[in-house]
Amino acid sequence: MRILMLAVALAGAAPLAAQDKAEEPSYTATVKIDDV
Amino acid sequence: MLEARLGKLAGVQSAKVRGYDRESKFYFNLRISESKSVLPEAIRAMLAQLKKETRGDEDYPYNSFEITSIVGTVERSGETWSLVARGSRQSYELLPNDALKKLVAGGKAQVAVAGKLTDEKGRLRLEISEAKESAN
Repeated sequence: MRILMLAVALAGAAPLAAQDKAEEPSYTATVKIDDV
Repeated sequence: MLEARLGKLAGVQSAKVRGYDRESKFYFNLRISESKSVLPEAIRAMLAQLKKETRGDEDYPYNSFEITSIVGTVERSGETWSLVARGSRQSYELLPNDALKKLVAGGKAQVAVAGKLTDEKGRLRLEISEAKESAN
């Protein structure tokens, strides 16, 4: 039972962590690099 | 190779190839954390390091850097305009366009802008091409 609860907790935590990173405020830019 | 290197720069959340044109330029779209600032110098340093590591095989000259959307506060002192970016507090000297002048004249100091970023002689200058009131 404990193992099951831990697995459920981890499964919930991982997407939340990913969501936090994705929602970090950002700005955008375009870089041009030559090919010689 | 370049995409992966750009993606590893401090502050870059993602780097994606946008395309390649007949003038022999690679275009990359960067998404950068607001709490950081990525400047042209960081791109040139990455390219120099790549060239060094590959003993000249991977030699890609820097071309240009355009900010496509950044939110900040416009400050004006006489004829000198500057933008202090939200989050990083990075300051850019501005070359304002008419749209930005109109916003500031209307009392809007927090704006979202786009423009070409240069750093000649160590002066960070943002030549504004688009400006609008920031939604938040």
